[in-house]
Amino acid sequence: MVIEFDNATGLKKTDGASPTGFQVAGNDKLWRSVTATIQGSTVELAETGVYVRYAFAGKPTVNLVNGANLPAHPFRTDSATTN
Amino acid sequence: MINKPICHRLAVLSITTLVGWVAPLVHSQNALRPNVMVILSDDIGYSNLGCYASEIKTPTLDRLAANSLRDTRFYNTSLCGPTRASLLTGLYAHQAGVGEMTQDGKLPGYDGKLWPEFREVQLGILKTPLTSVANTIDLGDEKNIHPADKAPICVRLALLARRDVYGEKIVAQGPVFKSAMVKRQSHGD
Repeated sequence: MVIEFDNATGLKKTDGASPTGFQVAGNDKLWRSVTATIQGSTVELAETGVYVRYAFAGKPTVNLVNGANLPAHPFRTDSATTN
Repeated sequence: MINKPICHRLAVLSITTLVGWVAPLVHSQNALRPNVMVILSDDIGYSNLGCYASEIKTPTLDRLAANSLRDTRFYNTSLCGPTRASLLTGLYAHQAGVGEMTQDGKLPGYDGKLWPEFREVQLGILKTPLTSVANTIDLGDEKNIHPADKAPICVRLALLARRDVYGEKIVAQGPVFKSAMVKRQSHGD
């Protein structure tokens, strides 16, 4: 699964780890963390889901920034009404 | 924060040390609708303001108060996060799961489960024209409500001001989700 962003020029991590905070779920909405890899200005997830979300937790651990060292915004592709 | 003409319809000025969003300005596009600015400040007692009979001189806020609705029976929750949780949801802080701060307290009312939804609501303010949001999702310390990494918040707000108020062509925002696509398997021809 490939995630595209706006403002993604120079997409990088702030540490040596993989990008953290990405989760996917099926229609059952059981979220599981997935391995993410930066591919140019996109993030590729090792698994595919019906829904994907990022940094969607109380205090998520995040390390994904753009070339200006500004952090990626949290997002989800499901919505409150699909909970 | 950022100095703009007094035509803000709704601006929630949240002076906070907490992880979250800071929404500095909203510009009204519709003159027929009233301009409402909510000032919710941390770590300030009502007795600190001149308009509440303090000995401390606060002339600017006093002038604002003179033309405003001044809450005299409003009680916050003694902490910034839970107070903002109440303001944003209309729920008691514990009903919103923000009895304390961002950490998961492992107890009902303290599990912080609605924090991502709060941020989502705050980010929704960007649908309003001429609105900026500084993303601080990477900052803060869930074990310390007064973390040391406050300077980046100012830096990011300054970047937004340069882009949105001074019109500089700079990157002032982090990556924003655009699309998720299932990668096609290559089967050849």
